[in-house]
Amino acid sequence: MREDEEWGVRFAPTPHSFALALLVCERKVPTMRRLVLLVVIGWIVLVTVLHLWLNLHAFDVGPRYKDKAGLEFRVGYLPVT
Amino acid sequence: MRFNGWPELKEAFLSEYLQAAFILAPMAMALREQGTPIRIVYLGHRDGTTMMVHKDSDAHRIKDLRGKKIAVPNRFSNQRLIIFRALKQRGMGIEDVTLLEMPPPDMPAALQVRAVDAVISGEPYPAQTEMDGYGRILFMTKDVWPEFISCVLAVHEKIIRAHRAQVQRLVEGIAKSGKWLDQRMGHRMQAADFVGKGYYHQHPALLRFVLSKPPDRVKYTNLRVLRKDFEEIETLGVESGILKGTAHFDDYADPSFVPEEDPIQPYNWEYTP
Repeated sequence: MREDEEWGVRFAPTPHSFALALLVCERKVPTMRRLVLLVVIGWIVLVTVLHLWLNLHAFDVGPRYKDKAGLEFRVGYLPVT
Repeated sequence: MRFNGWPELKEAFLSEYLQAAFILAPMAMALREQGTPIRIVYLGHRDGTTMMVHKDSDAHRIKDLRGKKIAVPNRFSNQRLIIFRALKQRGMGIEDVTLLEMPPPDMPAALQVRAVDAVISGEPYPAQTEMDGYGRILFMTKDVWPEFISCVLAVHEKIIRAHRAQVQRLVEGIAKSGKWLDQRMGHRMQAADFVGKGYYHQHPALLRFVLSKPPDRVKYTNLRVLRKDFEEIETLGVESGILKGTAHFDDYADPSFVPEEDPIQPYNWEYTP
């Protein structure tokens, strides 16, 4: 069995030369890379949830005005006279 | 839906996330010039804009603004046009002052720390500086440009075509609300409470101050879309360089929703907290 130290890959060839080789791969991801990946994914999820909540009001509860035709009439304003 | 800055509201309106918006009059006119199919159908209010300076400022007249930094809500605002108009009447030009665009909620703090020399905006932000003791009124628009228009109700044309009845209800509701507000001071005080808590998220005491000191600081009647008012804004807008003059009243306005004043009755309603 050959082991690639960089990737931690181990190849387990079958005893038969024509058979399909069985590949057992065990990749060793450095801890820092995994941490960065987790932080990036977590950040994307957080920003997405915040955007859905604050900008698109996806989690709003309570009545939203809709007329008989189903039109949700949104009127924007600034809190100025 | 409440916004804190004009650019954000404009973008939401352009994307049609908002079917209608209370928007700055010159901004609505500029959007129409740029091809956005919107129409101004009613006004939001009349007057209700004040220019404030710091209480220790050496500016006591409009002429004293020479060389000063003035915060305005947006380059496409009537507040900018009133500065242009007032300076022109006194033999000065817009180049004699420095204008900075600033969201109205940021103006009180900017004036307090003297990051700017003057601020001009729709209420209640100017009144806030006055109530907090560091602002002094330089002028109210009601005194230099009577029946001043700041915000208008603009609606997408396709909403007008497809949902005219709803737009009509909205306009009539604003008209009846305005009549209710201006019917007596008690109604204004009630409005200060429920609007401050439920919509503006501002202290009711501030809104009570704005709606009463003086009583004509801001008005909510005579909100019809009138040609002469907008043609004046057009002229100033073109002269000051913020409008091209390619859109006119019949392009950007639809006064057909405006009810006759006399038949409008105020809401028969009293607020109970």
